[in-house]
Amino acid sequence: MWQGIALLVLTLPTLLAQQQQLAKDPGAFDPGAPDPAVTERRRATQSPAAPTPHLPDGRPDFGGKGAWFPGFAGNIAELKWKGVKSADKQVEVPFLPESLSVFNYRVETIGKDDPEARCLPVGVPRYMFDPYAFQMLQFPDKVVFLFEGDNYPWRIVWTDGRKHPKDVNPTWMGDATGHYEGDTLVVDVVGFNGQSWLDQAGHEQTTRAHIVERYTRTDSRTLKYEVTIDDPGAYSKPWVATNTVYWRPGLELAEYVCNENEKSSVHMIGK
Amino acid sequence: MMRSAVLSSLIAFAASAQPPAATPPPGPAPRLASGRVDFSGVWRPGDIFLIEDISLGLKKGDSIELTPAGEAVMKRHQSKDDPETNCLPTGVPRHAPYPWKIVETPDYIYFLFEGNIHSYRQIFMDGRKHPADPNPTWYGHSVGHWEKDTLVIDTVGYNDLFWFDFVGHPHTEQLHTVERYTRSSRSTLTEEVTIDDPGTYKHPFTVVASHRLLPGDELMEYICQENNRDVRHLVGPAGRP
Repeated sequence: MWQGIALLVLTLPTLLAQQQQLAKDPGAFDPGAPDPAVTERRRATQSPAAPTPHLPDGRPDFGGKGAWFPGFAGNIAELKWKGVKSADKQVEVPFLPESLSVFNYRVETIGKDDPEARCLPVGVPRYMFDPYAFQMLQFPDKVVFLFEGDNYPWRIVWTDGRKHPKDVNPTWMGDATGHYEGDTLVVDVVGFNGQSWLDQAGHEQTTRAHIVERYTRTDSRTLKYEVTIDDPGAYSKPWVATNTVYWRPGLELAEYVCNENEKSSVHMIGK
Repeated sequence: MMRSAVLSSLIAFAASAQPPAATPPPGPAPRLASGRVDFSGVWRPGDIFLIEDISLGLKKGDSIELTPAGEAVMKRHQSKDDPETNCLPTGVPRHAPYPWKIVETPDYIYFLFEGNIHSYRQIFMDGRKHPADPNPTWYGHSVGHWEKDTLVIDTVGYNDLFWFDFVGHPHTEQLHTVERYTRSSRSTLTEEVTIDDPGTYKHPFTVVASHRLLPGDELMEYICQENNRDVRHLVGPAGRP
């Protein structure tokens, strides 16, 4: 009883501070803006978005003082997944029979084999659907992605005109080359190791995957992400998923080391 | 014996990304348009102490003296508990034998690591100070500035989890490091690190290391966590291979 009151007294200032903060910015404690109403309230309290910023050489500027935060989408093909907002639009996934079985198994076993749960890289395109901040650093010859989530990794997309190697070493992130088309960064990725899941739901990615990503900063605050998944090992034809990524002014990347104290995976038994 | 085989294979693996050993390109360090020395390029730790035993890199005349508390912690360290072996970051200044590179924007410098769980480290170059109560992390809170051609990085806010080397030199959250990087020639990056941790060492000490340029090379994807099978083979107290 006394402990309960003491706890309440101790936590009261924090609760009050949080409420005051929420009144100022209703979305402040909401990762990834899954709720459109919250997003709208946040927008109403922010200054209006500015037009797409550009670098001196005319390329779109994907940086600034802040970081990107994807709207969380557990299933990149569904508008809603387990009751929360998911990807931007619903997609009919052209499963091959075997990849449908794989997907169904992963759903039925509640994602117990999800590599992300074991602190392995989430791969491409899942970084753009997971609720962790990231930054894009643009150089003349490359774009460096810095991710907060997972095991705090980075990724390089070469924009110096090089081609994919002939016999690319299979990796989680694949081999990525990019170019600019107007205000869009187009990234072409091959050379996957086939171990990543496309999303939390469990859409399969095989070693034959060829991914084309399109990043468009439509205004100062919004990054539209469109990904074309061409993977004849799992799907009968290419399909497209989209997501919206939000700019968080002033946000800096915090160090997140998944492997430091990972205690969840032993409890993931699929029942 | 086992350890040295593992280490050799690690080094061989890291080296496999590069073309056959060539003579390092001679000449002075290249410069940016601004006139300052350019640190870009892929670097490979050239000194074994960055991996095995930090005391091998002590600056001439310097010494490492553990406090009784520090000594007690070091004695407890078993090889199998080395965070590096368990796919955790190696902190500062330990590098393991993997290449790394530096990328720079106006307000930040980033170290991108091939090993070190394939992570990165950010250094604030915008003139800010350390926060009064930083959140303890593997890489700490790093602020940097240039002293002519030398990059000086001051870091506090470390967690107490990483080891400085295979032999298990420990530290506490009181750790404060000052790193000084100089590209002394086109193919050499020299690092001088002063380690100050009154929780573990009786006085600050300085170690010196060099990194060699890997011209034309790029970092590979290395995911320690993917298939780590070493830990169960490591027995006994922390030590050099």
